[in-house]
Amino acid sequence: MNFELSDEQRMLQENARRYMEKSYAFNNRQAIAADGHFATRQWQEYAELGWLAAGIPEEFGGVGFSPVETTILMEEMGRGLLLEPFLHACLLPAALIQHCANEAHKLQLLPAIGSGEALIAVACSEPESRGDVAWVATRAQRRGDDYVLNGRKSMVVCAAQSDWLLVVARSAGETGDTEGLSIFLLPRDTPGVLLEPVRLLDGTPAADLVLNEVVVPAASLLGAGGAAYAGLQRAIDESIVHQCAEIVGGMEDVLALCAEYLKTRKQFGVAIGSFQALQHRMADMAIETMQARASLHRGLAILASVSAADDERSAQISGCKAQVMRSAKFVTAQGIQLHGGYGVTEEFRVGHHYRRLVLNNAWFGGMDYHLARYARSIQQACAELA
Amino acid sequence: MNFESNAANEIFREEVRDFLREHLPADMAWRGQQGYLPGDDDSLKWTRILHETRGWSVSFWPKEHGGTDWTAEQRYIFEEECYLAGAPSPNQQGVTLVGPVICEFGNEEQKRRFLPAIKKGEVYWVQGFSEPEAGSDLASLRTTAIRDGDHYVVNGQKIWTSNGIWGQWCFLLVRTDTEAKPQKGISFLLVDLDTPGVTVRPITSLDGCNHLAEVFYENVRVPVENLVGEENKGWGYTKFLLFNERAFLGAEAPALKRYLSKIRRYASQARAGAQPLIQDPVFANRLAEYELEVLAIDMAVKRVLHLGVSEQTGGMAVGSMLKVRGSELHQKLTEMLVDVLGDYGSAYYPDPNEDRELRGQRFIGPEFAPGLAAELFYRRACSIYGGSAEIQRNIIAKAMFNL
Repeated sequence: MNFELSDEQRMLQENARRYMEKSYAFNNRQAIAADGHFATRQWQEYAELGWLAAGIPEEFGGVGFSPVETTILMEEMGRGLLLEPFLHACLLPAALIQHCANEAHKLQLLPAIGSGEALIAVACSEPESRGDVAWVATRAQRRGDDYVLNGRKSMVVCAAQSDWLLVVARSAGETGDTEGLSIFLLPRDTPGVLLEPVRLLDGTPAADLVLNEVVVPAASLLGAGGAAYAGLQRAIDESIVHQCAEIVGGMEDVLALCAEYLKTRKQFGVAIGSFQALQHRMADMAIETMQARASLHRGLAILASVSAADDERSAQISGCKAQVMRSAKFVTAQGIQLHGGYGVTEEFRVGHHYRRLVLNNAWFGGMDYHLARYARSIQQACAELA
Repeated sequence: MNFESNAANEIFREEVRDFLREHLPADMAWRGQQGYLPGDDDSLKWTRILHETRGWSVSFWPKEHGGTDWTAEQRYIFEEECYLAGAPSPNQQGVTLVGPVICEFGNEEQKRRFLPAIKKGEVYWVQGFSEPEAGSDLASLRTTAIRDGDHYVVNGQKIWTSNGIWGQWCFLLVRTDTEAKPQKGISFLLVDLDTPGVTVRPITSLDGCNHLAEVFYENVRVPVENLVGEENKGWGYTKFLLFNERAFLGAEAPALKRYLSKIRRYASQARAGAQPLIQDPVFANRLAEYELEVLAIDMAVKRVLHLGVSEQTGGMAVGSMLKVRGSELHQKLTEMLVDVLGDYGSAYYPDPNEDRELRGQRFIGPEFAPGLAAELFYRRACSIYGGSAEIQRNIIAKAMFNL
């Protein structure tokens, strides 16, 4: 392991930070959020910056960065409270395609994601999944050369804005089985796909997808039918690590905001940072942030490990999210607390980190789910030991 | 930055494991595994074994004084493997605390006199810092040393001296200038505890053991050649020592990992009704929480070892951050270990390092029960020693946020 950033990584970090600070200053961001729409102009800018292609292999027109570099990007996006769904509409679909698709689909889709030409939304979760990747009740029934999809996919980020949908459905087995999962690529306007749109807590557009007798050709299958679980779980694991990076970036911003505020805000005639109760709170927040960053690094180490079996990798990644989430809940909530009443207002940046965390806790399974999943892996390891 | 595992480190880990299998005495390992603090005999004997077989007893000292050229990561691997195997900790006050101070600030004569004896496990050192009226506010200490010809005459009282009853030599903070500001008038003396006028009185703590002691100094004559560095400059050496203690030992992460593996093992053996305790989801969830915290601390320590103490890692605050969270985890995990015992968590198991007649004796209850409660009680002190958790938080707030 090497914790020192390379020159290239440092440059990536500095450029991203500078972009977020200048072009994504809080006022600009508020204007984008108020608009309530997906900012196509921003997305194109990310394509030009090379961000959309960052994690895509070079042979498919990408930069070929590993998760170490793409998490550096995510961290800066978290620090600067990026609104556009970089994870959901760029990293996640690209990972799914890389891990599950055949060569033809990769050639078709990956360069298009990287250039920003195609926006692909991922419909993997369902109302009852709560983080369990295999909990897919949506059915895909073979009928001749076609598949017929029926079911509901929940909270598909940027569904209405997308050109394509990647839909996870079950072509065999029972809900909860890891066997029998398939992923389909379909144009967003495919007949039978009904969108129930919703705005997320921070204004990001999303929708529930109701699939009613949706007929898609067998050629729209991404990779082998019924065998998508391993690649899907891998893509979700990678997404969770990126999510952790975003959260850690946000936590660091909270620390910086609070340190500044405690020095300027006066009560009883003195800066409130002179009060030991608040100093100790800041110390605790710093400790939690250190642990969250270390957990992010653990996640990256697990992704880089060649020896970890799939199950073990996933359980460890769950553990990382559980820890990052627990630390971040404390830090972002205390960020509000230290700002007093201003902390709960739209005008103050600090509360936005807390709100963003609520989203991140909902996406890809919350703290409780991931902690319990890690706990079960302990139980399993102990049972095997005995 | 990359997270691929380093093959050389893994080879080194195997080498350490092989060494431990070959050279760590089984009875010593048993006592360590149980969680008893090592006696002076085990600590010194283990240091001798390390020194004589591989020259590993003071691995992180400068090479000319017997150190190795291990990287910080290798040192960590070594300590982790030793802990997991149940090896006794060395006499920390000698090897980790006063040794590096003498290497850095001692004169040639002091290096020649004191360092080899520490390296070879011949002398047991203890620390004389805290006083009844000077705990967190260490600089307010009142033990005096007044120059009288070739000697200092020391008068005062020290307290919370770890392993005081076994101490042969003590490094002592004394006030040599009563007029100056508290930090400015302190000197760092090395004292032979056999000198007339020294009285050591054990303090019995909650585990029933006498790890701690009070040490009284009544007109104790200490030769001036035992002064480390310059007179009245002792506070600077102390900060160096305390920083070393926190940065590298602060979290005692290898010990945390040993608790985790013990909880997993013992909770698989202990039964709660019809099933192993570990299968209880509430218990498993709690363990999961602690494990994730420990693994994070472990990664954070590795990062600090790799990057060193820099702004990136939190500067002077980093040791304190690791210590605060590490201490909390020591306390949570030792409590959990006693929870595993169920009814037998209430039993008193005497310490075979205190009463050495007891070594080898069997007790009622699960095989793994002896030592767990003792460790729980001992670990209540880890949020107090080396600077209380509250003092550490003050340091963090100041160093990181300038508050």
